[in-house]
Amino acid sequence: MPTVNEPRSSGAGGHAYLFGLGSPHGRDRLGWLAAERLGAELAGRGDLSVACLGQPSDLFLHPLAAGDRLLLLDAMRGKGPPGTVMAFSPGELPDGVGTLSSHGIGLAGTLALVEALGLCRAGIRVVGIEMAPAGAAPTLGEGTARRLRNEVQRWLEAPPHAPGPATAGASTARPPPE
Amino acid sequence: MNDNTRTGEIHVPVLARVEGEGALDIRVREGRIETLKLRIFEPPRLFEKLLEGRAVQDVIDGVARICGICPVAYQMSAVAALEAILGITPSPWVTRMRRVMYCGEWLQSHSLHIHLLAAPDFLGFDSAPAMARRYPDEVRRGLRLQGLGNAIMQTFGGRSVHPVGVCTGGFFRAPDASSMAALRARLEASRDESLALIDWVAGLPLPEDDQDFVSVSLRHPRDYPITAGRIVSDHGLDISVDDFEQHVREFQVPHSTALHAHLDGRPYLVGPLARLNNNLDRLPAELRDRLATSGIRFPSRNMFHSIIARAVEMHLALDEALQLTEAYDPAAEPHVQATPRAGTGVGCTEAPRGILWHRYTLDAQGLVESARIVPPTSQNQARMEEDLGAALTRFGLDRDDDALRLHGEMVIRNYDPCISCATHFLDFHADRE
Repeated sequence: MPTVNEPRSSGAGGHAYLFGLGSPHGRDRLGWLAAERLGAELAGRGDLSVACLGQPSDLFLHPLAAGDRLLLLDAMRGKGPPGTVMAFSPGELPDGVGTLSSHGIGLAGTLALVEALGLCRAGIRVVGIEMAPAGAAPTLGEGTARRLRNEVQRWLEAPPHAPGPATAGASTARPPPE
Repeated sequence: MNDNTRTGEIHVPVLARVEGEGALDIRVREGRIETLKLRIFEPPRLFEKLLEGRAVQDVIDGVARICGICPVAYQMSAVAALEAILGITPSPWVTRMRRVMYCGEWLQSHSLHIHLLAAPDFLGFDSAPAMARRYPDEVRRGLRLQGLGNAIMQTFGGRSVHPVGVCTGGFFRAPDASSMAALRARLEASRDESLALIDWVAGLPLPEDDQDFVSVSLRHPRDYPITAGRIVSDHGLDISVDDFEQHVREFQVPHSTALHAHLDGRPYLVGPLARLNNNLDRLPAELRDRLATSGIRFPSRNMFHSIIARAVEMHLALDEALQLTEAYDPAAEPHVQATPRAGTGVGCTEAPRGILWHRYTLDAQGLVESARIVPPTSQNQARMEEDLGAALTRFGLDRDDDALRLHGEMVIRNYDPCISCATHFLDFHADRE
């Protein structure tokens, strides 16, 4: 796990943080798979930190600042066929996100704290990846990886404080019909 | 309005910032509380039954699933009971490292409660984010300390939520020296923050309160109790964990799917305030002095001093983790092999919310024949109802519904209840006739 003293550099849009949410096993692993893959592909960028978080509030272990940007990758359910990639601003998260259990602080609560603490004002984005049906192993297919990469690239290249991907409405990229 | 004549009904729909889902019903007749029920209506989770027929490791990993906040406590009470059956005495290294892992859980659980659940009550905010706007540095400090606790658990258990590293006789693997060095550096860097937290919490405008209650906790011959000890009270109880069932009676009440418990026929308190009340002399002298300078006297009969006890225990946990990992050397054999055998054993450790007692009976193949788990929130339920009755009456039953609801919520939250470890709100109803 990265520490609060992790090295960071910032571009014009502040430092960017890309966190996968989930756990090491099961369908909830999808956010971690995505972060691991994107982290490897974007390893050369000095203005980006990538990590896998066991719970959303672990993002506070990183030295987030007001001018930074935050992108969270998480498994989602019920938004389309498996592999669908859908991006949300915090205000667009579906009702009930993070409220299934109060153990710890969920995604919605964490983002409320990020906002209250004045962090990541250059933009916050949540990208959901539709899970496979129950019983299927979590995998990140090439098509899903490509859609994710495109989403993240758009986010990274958007100007800070602009009504770009960080603050715009939800967008969806669905896998082509088979 | 005259307290002696007030009758009626209050309905308050939601109480936030407690762990679990329940309701509070109060009926007031002629200015007095006629009935008060802390209703727990989540379906029974039947974990004890699910464990029957399971192997020992299934128990250790399975009980961690009971709670996302205190999985280590469940694992440690279970493994203590199972090792008692299997005749395993953990090595000194394992004993020390299990205590370190447990310290991580105390840190994360207590910090979560102080900063995100309880402190907003005392500072007049309706939520943690609202408090964070005014107290950003304090909230961020709390989140760092909570994260540090998670990191300790992750170091030993592979992950902080439902860790998987514990087995009979020790751990599946010993953390390597470099990861321990990195963890220790963070612990060292956070020491001043946990000390400052004690001062901050002691300075909160906590309500005055003076109640007569029984404090029950573990007590260890040498250490502040976490993973082992005898069960004691400040009213003279001093028993082996094996004798728990001779003194504690669990019983069903119609309004709760979680069992209530009485100690020798009366409600009792478990948790950080009870622990500190019973073990002040087990604190390091430096920490005891720090507490004394706060002006708050312990043992305390003010239930709201629980938040101070939590802050004290956070610093204790951080310091213990540092001391116990000094000159850390990974064990070559982090666990010993267990041979299945039949028997019955009990284990009791101090979960963040109080003593957590387990009993298991294994058959000759090492499979569970029966299991019994007595969690701290269950033990505190009768005490919470007793406290609510006294606190709301003292607060004034003639107050308006919102004020009563808020005070009732604050009293409940103060116990940091983990109501069946699943959901997150509590409804409040009061009937006035």
